Amino acid sequence: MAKEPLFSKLFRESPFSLLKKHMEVVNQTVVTLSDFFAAALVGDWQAAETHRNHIGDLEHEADDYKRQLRMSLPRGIFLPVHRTDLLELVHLQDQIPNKAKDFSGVVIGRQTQFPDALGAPIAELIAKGQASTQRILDVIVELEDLFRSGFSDKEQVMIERLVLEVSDIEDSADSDRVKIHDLMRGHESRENPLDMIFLYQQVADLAAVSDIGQEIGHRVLCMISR
Amino acid sequence: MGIIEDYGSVLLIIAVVCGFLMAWGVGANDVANAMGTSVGSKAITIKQAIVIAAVFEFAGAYLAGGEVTSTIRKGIIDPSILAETPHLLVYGMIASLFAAAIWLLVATINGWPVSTTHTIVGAIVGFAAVGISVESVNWGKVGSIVASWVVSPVLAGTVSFVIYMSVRRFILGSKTPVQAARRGVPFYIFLVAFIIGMVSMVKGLKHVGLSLSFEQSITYSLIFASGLTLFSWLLVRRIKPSSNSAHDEIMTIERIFGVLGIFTACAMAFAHGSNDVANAIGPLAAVNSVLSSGGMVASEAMMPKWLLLLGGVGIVIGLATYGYRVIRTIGSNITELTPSSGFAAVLAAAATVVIASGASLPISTTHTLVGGVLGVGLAHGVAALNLRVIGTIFTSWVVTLPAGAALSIIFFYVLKGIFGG
Repeated sequence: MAKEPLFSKLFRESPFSLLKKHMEVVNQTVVTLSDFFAAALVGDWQAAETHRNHIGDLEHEADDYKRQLRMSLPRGIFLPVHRTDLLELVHLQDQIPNKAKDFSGVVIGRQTQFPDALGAPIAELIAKGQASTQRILDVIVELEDLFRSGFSDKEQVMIERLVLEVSDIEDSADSDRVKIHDLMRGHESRENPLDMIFLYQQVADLAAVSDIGQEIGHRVLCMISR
Repeated sequence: MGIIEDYGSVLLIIAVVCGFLMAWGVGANDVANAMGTSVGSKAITIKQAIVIAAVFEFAGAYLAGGEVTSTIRKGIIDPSILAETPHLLVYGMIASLFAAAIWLLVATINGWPVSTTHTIVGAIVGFAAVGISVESVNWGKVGSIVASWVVSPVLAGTVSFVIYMSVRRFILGSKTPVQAARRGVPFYIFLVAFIIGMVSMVKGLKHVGLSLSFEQSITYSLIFASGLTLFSWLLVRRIKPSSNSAHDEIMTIERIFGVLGIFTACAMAFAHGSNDVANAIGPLAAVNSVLSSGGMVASEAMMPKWLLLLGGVGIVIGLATYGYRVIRTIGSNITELTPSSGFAAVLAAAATVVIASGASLPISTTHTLVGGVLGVGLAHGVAALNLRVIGTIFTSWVVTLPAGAALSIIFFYVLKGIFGG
C-alpha cells in the first residue's frame, strides 16, 4: 500500500487544531515580549537581543502554521464553519506577532531609553495585551470543544464570556494608552523629539495587541452564531 | 458435456483457489475501510479492530452472506440460456474471479480507489455479454444493482445525517448531556442489533440450513437486541465525568459513545462480511453447482455450506496476513473523527449494507461508508472533508466496470482455448 487509500483521503486535517497551534505560538510571542521589555527597561541589551531573536523565531513558526492552515483549506473542502471565517481568523491572529516584532525591533534598533515614569505603565500595557491573547487562546481551544459538542449552548456561553473579557481588557488597555500619552506629553519638552515620535508609535503597537484580540473575539462570535 | 467430466476436478480446484484468493483480497484490503473509521475515531484500538473484524466478518459471511452470493452466482446471468453449454458458465466465472483478482492487485499497487464489488459485477457482465450473448445477461437485475450503488451511499448519508442530528439535538444539546448519553447510547445499540438480527434471521440463516418464520425472527431479534442493550447499559452506567468542567463533560460523553463505537464496529464488520464474501464466493458457487451436478445449470440447487465457510476463512486469513497493516494506515490517517460522529457514520453504513445484503444487492461498503461520513459532515459533525473524493468514486465506477469486463473477456477466451468448447 504505497498510496493513501480512498477512504482516508476523505478526511482532511482539522483546521481547528492548526488554528490552535498557530494561536499558541502567537501567545508565546506576547509572553516573550514582556520578558523582552523587562530586559530592555534595565538596559540589559544582551538579554533583550536574545528575547528579540526568540520573538523572530516564533513569528516564523506562526507563519508556518498560517501557511499550513491556508493549504489545508482548498476550495471544495467541506467544513462546519465558513472557510473565509477561518482564513480571516488566522490572518488576524498573525498580526499579533508582527506587532511584537515591530515593537522589539525599534527598541533594539534605537536602544530606546524609556523615561522612568513610563516603565511601569508600558509594562502594564504589555501585560494587558498578554492577558488578551491568553483569553483568545482559550477561545480558540474552546472552538474545538464547541464543534465536538455539536455547538452546544454551554460552550457558546463560555466562548461569549471569554470574548466579553477580551473586550473589557481592550477597554482598559485603551484608557492605559491615553494615560501613557498624557504622561509622555508631560515629558516631551525634556526628551529628544525624534525619540518621542518613535515612542508614540511603539505605544500604539502595544495597544494594538489588545485591539486585535478584540477583533478576533468578535470574528469568532460571528463565526459560531447561528 | 465431455469437458466437464474430463476436466471437472481441475476446473473446480482452479475456481476454489481463485475464490480463496479473492476472499483473501477482501480481507486484506476492503476490511480496512470498514474498520478504519472505528479505529480513527478512537472507539476501538487496532488490536480490538482485528479481533472484531476476524469474528464478525466471518459471522457476517457465514450467517448472512448467502443472499448476495446467490445474486452473483445466478442473478446477473440468466442460467437457463446456458443449459446447453454449462462449461461456458464455468469458464466465465473462473475468468471473472481471475480478472477481478488481477485488477484489484494492479489497482492496489497503484493506489487507485476501486471497489471489489464493482470489479466482479463488471467482470461477470463482461464475459456474459461478449463471450456468450447480450441476452444472457439479466439486465433488469444489473440495472437494479447499479441503481443500488447510487442509492446506498445516498441512503447511508441520509441516515447518518438524521442519526447525528438526533445526537446533537437529544444528547449533546440536552441540559444534562452525560445522562442523556447514558440513556441514548443503549437505544442506538438496540437499533443496530435489531436490524442485524432481522436481516440475518429472515434472509441469511436459510442459506446455512436454518429456517425461521417471520414471527420467530422478530421474537429472536428482539431478544438478541434487548440482551445487547442491557449489556451496553451496564457498560455505560459506570462511565462518569472526573470533574464538572465542560471539557470533561464532553470527554465523558465521547467515552460513552466509544462504547457504542465498539458495537457499531462489530456491526460494520458483520455487514461487510455479509455483502463482500459474495464477491469471492458467488462465482465459485456457480462453478461448483455446475460441476457437482455433472453439467446441470441448476439454479435452484442449495448452496453448500463449505463455500461460505471457505469465504469466511479466506477473509480472516487476508486480514491476519495483510489487512491489519491497512487498518493501521487508515486508522492513523483518520484522526479527525470523534466517537460521536464516527459512530453515526458507521452505524448508518452498517445498516445500509446489511439491508442491501438482505435484499441480495452487492454494493460497495467503502462507498457506503463515504456516504455515511458525508452525511455526518453535512450535520456539522466532521472538522474537514475533502469533497473531491466523490469525484474519485465516480471515476472509479467509470474505470472499474470496463476494466473488469475487458479482463474477464480475455481470460474467458483463454480458458476456452485451453479446455476447448
